[in-house]
Amino acid sequence: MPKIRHISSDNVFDVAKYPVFIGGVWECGSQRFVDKTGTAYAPVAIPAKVSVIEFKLLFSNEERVAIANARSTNQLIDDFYSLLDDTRTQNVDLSLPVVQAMLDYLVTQGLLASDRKDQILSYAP
Amino acid sequence: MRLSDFTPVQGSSLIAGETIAYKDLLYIDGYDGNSRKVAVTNFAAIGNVDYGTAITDANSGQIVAHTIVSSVQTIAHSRQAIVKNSNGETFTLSGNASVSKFSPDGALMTQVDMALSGCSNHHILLLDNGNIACLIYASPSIRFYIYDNNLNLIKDSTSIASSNNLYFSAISLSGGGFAIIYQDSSNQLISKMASYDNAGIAVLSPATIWTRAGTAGNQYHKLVQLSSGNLAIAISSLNTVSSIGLYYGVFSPAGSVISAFSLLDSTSVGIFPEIVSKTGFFAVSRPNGTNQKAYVFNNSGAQQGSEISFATTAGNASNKTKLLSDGTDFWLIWHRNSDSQCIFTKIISSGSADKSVSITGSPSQFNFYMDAFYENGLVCIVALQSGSGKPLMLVASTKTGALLSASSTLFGIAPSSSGSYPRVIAGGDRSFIAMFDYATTAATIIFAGKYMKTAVIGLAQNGVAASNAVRITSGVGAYDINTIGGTAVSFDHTTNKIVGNKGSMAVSSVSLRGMGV
Repeated sequence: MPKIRHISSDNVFDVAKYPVFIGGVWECGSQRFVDKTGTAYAPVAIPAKVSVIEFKLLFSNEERVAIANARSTNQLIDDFYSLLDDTRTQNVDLSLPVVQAMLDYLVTQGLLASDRKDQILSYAP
Repeated sequence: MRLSDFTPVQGSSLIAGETIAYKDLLYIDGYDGNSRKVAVTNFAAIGNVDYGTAITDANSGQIVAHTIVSSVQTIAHSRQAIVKNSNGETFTLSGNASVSKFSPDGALMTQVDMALSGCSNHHILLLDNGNIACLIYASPSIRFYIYDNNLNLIKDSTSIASSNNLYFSAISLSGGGFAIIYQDSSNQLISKMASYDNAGIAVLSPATIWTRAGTAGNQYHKLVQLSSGNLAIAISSLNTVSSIGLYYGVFSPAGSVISAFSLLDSTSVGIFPEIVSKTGFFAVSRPNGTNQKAYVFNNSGAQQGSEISFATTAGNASNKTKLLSDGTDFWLIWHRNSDSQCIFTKIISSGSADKSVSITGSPSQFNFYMDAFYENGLVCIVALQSGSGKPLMLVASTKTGALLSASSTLFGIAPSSSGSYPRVIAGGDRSFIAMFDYATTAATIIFAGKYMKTAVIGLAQNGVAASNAVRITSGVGAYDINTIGGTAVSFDHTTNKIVGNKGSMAVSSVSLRGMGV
């Protein structure tokens, strides 16, 4: 669901449509946010949908090697990467909860730093 | 056919619901079937509303979507500050403190930030020359600013009183300018009145109009201008000793006593009373924790009949009850705790309750913060549900005293917790403009929608007084019309619940494509 954030309070609002700034108002479908200068609110970026190879290249060389080594002993990681290796899989939607859950899991396993997870989810093609 | 080629050809007639002039663009009113003049294009272009069906888009009656004008809850003690002009432009005063001007379609036209802090009891007044007066309690003083219609500064920040004055009241005056009544800075027992012209020049410098006996305590003021031009004032006082309660008085705009302050109810309550006027009379109401009370006076301040009192312990807060006038009678909306009902009571000029009808909707608005306005036989009510429910809208008839439908119509976005200071004003063309607050997530919001079905039909072929037949042309063509407010919009009322015309309208012209096609 698209979101918009009030920058100073850090309140995030779910909105019906991706926010578009028109003449002092963020138009978001069922809700509108008055913002004279366009600096009080900001759309929360929607995670991108990327190709499988693009997804793998979002990780550093060291991260990829560490994850590959973990596959032999960790069924959850192996299952996820088996899906990526399936030739029928073409894209990875970073907004999918299951993808985000796996990234969180990689963080808990010490295979990915928390700030790196945020960088991957905010990737803009 | 071209503009100005208006040739009356159709022979259809409708009863005029108001005075209508030749070449007025007309809509048919779903309540009484009468024809009325389109006031604002954007409001008249929206035709449908179904009671009980949430207003979520243009098809369900939405004119301006839920719009957050301030990211804080505006503590407007005596209801949110919003006015509209005849062009359908809306002005709001919110937060700490921003003045915003919106076009009838909800676009932000301009905004001015006063950069104050600790603001409350926001007032915004449309003066008789189109200027906008903003009054606010900005700790520790009451201040005012005056802007022109485009929010160019006319009068910069001016302090009226230096401290201790949260619960003031101000109104625009029919003769120009505005008046304010407030509690004195140095002595809470003293109430002062002042007035200023359209440019903010003092007409009546702050003058003491009443010194209450007893012990100091907050005094909640409300005033209204009477048909005589004088000002009626109601003051609810709060402390714990004698000489407390609800008082009223009548003064000239120059501060001369017409009727000295008199006690109406000796119970101490820290809330704003309600006060409203109609030709020759005014009325005051206030719940006091035990009873809901109301009083009627003539313009001289002489009480008509006797005190009107209903047993209840509900509605004991500012902005939970509403006193209105339909021009003939007074109407009081109040809350009855014995059966958890919201009650609509007709009060006649002779000073007695004529009838009381339950107007409790579903969801119920019992004991909620609310506001209402009267327009052409109907009262539109907006209430904030407590907690996380969306705001709701209900419509009652002053012909029957009853709701048109008991199904409440929800609108806007649900809060985590709603607020306490809702205001609703008539937009014209059977529309309402609500301004309300949420406690969490803190915000101040405006929303505009329809409260009655309407459909644009055509142009008046003749000028008539209300209740007379007006001939209407509704044929295909482009016509010039008497000037209305708003922006250029298209409309299609051929498939409305009430069938009308289709086309586009601007402030001085309309293009019709025909009825029901």
